[in-house]
Amino acid sequence: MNNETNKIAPKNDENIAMSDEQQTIQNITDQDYKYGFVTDIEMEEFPKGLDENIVRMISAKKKEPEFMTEWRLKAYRYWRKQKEPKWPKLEYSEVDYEDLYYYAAPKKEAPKSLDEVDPELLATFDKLGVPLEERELLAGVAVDAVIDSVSVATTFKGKLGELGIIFCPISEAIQEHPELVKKYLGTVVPYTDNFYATLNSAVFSDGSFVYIPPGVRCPMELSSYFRINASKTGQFERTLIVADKGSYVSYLEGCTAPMRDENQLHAAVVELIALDDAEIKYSTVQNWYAGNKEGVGGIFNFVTKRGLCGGKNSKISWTQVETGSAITWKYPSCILKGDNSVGEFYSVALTNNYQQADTGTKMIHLGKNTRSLIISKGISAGKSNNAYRGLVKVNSKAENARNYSQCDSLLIGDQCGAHTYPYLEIENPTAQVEHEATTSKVSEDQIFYLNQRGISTEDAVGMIVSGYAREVFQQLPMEFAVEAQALMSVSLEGSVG
Amino acid sequence: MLSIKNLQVSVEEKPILKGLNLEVKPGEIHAIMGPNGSGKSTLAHVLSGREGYSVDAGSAHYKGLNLLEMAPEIRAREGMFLAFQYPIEIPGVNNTSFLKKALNEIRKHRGEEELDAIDFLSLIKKQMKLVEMKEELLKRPVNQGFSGGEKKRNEILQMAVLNPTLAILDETDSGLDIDALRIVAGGVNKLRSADNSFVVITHYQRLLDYIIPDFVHVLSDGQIIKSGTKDLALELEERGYDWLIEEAESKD
Amino acid sequence: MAHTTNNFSEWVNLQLDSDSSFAVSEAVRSPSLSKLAGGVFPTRKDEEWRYTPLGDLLDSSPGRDTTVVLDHEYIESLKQAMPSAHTIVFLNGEYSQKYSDSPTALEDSGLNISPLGQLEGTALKLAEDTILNSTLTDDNIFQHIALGLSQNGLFIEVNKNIEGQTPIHVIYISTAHGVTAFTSPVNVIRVSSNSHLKVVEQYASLGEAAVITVPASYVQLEDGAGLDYYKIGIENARTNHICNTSVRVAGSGTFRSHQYLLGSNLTRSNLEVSFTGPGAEAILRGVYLGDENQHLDVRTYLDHAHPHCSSDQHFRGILNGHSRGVFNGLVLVQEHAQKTDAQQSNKNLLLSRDARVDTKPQLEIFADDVKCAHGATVGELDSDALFYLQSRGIDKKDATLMLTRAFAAEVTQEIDIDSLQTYVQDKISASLDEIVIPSV
Repeated sequence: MNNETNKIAPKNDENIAMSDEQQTIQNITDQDYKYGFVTDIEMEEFPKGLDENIVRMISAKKKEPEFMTEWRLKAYRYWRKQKEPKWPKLEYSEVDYEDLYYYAAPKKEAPKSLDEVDPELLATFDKLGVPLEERELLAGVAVDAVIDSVSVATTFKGKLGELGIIFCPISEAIQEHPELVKKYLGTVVPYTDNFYATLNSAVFSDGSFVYIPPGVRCPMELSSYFRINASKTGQFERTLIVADKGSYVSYLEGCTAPMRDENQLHAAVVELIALDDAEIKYSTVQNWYAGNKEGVGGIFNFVTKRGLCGGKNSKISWTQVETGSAITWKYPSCILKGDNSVGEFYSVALTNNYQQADTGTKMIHLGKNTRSLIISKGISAGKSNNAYRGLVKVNSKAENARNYSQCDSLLIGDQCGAHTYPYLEIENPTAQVEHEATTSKVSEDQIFYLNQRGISTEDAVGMIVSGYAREVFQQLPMEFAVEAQALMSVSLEGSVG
Repeated sequence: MLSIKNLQVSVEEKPILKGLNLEVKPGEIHAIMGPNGSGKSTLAHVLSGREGYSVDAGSAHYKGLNLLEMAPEIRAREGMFLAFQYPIEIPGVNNTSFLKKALNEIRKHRGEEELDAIDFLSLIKKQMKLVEMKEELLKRPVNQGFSGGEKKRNEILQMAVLNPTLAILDETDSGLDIDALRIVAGGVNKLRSADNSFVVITHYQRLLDYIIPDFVHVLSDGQIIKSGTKDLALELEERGYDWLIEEAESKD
Repeated sequence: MAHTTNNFSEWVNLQLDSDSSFAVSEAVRSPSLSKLAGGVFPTRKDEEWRYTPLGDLLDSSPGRDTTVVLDHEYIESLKQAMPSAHTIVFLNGEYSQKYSDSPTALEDSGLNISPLGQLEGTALKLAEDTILNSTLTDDNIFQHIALGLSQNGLFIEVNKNIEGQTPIHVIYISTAHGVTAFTSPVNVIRVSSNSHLKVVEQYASLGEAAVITVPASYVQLEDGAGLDYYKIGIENARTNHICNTSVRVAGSGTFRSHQYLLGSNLTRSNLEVSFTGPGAEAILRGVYLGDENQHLDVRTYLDHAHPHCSSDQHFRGILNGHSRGVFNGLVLVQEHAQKTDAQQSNKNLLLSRDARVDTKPQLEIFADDVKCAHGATVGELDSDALFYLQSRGIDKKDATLMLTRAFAAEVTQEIDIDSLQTYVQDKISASLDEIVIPSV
């Protein structure tokens, strides 16, 4: 990898102001987001580092009401008192928090056309079948606006509006729906939650806000049309989804194409709230830059995702396909507070080369007759390490709680590691909790068998791995599932044979 | 079709095949018999391109192509099929979609159009009758949860669908009861034509009651020590292998 | 409640002042003593102690009841478990010649058995080498308590090619009258090539005052050696028991362990097994049965450092009253340890509203051609099975008892010493009979 697009952390001498031309292009591109994920990007240079002033400036820039500024400041002050956690199974160089830009870091010079983009990246787009018009955006090429998606987005927006569904950037929601934001923001992931969530609370740039009114079933997968745009929301993304009584929404995050991103540290927060009889399905495909084959570079993904099944009969279902990032540290969780509520976690985490993933879930059973299901499929290849870490907690008042967990590991090659750390904390005798884990490998025999039937090794590995992760892929919306399977093969390239 | 000359193969520096010669012409069925450890399975594996074998000398050509230089999937796409002695289980990979993928890879290679799901299903249903296989086995993962006999039938089903020009049956009869043996052999016989050839590797004569070979070769200690017709197999059944081995050794 | 370094060191010093002879030599003791001097007592912030609060474990001043005389019947009741074994009794940490079988009975048996404190020369060196070679980590403070403060323990060595030897039954009795009884026996067991031995360790306590028992055991099996190692804990409710066992198994060796934790106020048993050669095997079994405010914590650590080794763990917990069970098992499969077969199962039964269990089975795998699986369950009795028994005329309490006993029996039936199996099953039944089954 040898390209500008590929550099990870901005350096001092690279604060190159954007040229006029680029600024124009940027403005047009921003119009894409007029419903828009980034309402107000100006390339003013905020200094590096973080203090109260920067937090105030971020809030002021976003024209936030007083309560938001205060909330951010509380988070900032709390964060100052916290120590960054150390994880026994993760190894990485420390992040220098004083050397980061917390608001709109100056853009580096973008490649002018695909000709300037790393051919390896282009080859990957080919294999994944990324549409031509998306490739330039993903590769960070400065391009004209993607007109098609604007019109699609507009009709889309109209349809949702008729149903009373609010789907907009959270920065917009803070201005236009402050009562909703004030009521729900930080209720599931409080600003005191953990080091990264606290930092996010102080400085979050933008993200999505979704509100589904009572009884409404959102007629389409949210964000599937917006997913390219969503890549611009930066390193401190914040998402809040509220499903009011009896409503349903399916939200898709991410993209199967590899995201080039200059920010090394990503500390997003996602909060989901499901009221009585509501259901939220949240699917993620994460394929951020994982570093090169020698383990240099790559994104640190320290994200906090949590859902509250606050109402009776509510349901939250997390599905994730994690193939990117140098380090992934995430535990999408469910607090099952409402009686009869259901939490689900379906995960495929694939690591190759020097990647490290520590991911899993927490299912906290508080209400009666609450149920949870955990299906985790780890895949380790190269010299990577892949850990499942999860908690199932049944509170003493949670009568008749049920949990089933299946956490499997697949090893490809003898240089990688696969680890399973389930925590089961059970305080109620009526609970039934069951955890199982196994390990297996992609055997040479299996590959040869498929080879002998005319299937290439690359396809064979893809087939075997997809077969192994079938239960999770089945949870993804159809189109996403097909892409995710292709992603498996691409991500495992060179790991066998 | 297949031309093997002075093939010498070793595994972890231990010689297994020690100068093997074999000519197979279109339409012929060759049976390769021999005691355990004579190198029968090694021959099947080397011809199909399995790793872990080192070819120290000799050559193997298939349809004029240098077989030993080809990746296993290319050999398969060129029409070579190995019915495994121990078919491999592949969890989670659906039997039907696997076979569809395999067939379409081969068709693509031949420059033919890929079959869509409907055409493929009608093909596979037709061929299943050949091996009297239960339809539910199509819905299961490849070979997983199959009985020994079901696995072997699944191999023959794949052969019927992929329609190879050269099929190598590696001890397909082992572990089969007499009914399953009859069905498997029946499947093979229906696929026989003037254009395709079979190499049937077996330890016992009984399979050859059902699949009548044109030639029978006896493999011992990495070499073919005797070739003949079906009668040779019968003689072996009666007298065992030892007399032949002794005869071969006395010639040395 | 966290212990500051100060009052922990104070406690250690008090203990040191009350003793004059020790089980192991200065060379082995002094590193442990300096660890204790600077040592920090673990709190629940340590991941290792997350589920086990030690609280006021060391608040009482230690002491030793040296004048006690046990009645004959009591000793006999303990021996019941192993009537035909060679019995060795430690009373309040000291070897008791009076209650132990005469060592002459073992002459010419190929067994060398001696109190650790009486060892000399090569045997002493062998024992101490085994200790120094252990798998226990340097930050294991209870290992240092045992090594630093132990006044005695047992050394067992089996020569090569010895089979069918009389089992050894070691009974540790603590009596606490008026003053806390603290003991920390250090045991060393070595089994030479192609020999096999059965050892039963049994812990009992008496008296109205608190008992603290901190044993450390060091086991080494040579090529092809086998050890069946049973630990029976039936101490009274004023006893806190924290033990560490380090086991090293050479190629083709077989280590079988059974632990039955049926008493005490708090028990924490840490068992570490490391394979030092290929083809070795470890079979670990255990039942922990808690009632009232008992806290029972089982930890296992299995280090698969060599290929072709297998381990099989099966632990079951039955928790009643306000009791709390903890299982924490880690299987590590190192790079190159191909063809490892590691199985681990932990099943728990909660019998009351206020009982609690925390289980944490863990796998760390660095080799691909392995068969590893673990499972854990927590639940109540199968209501269908209960109903079935009731429908045949058995009342609910009896049905519950039957099923609970059966739950434990799936482990205890693997005890291959008949008298011991009966003894353990009877103890479990007796404990269960006392349990008031809540009527639901």
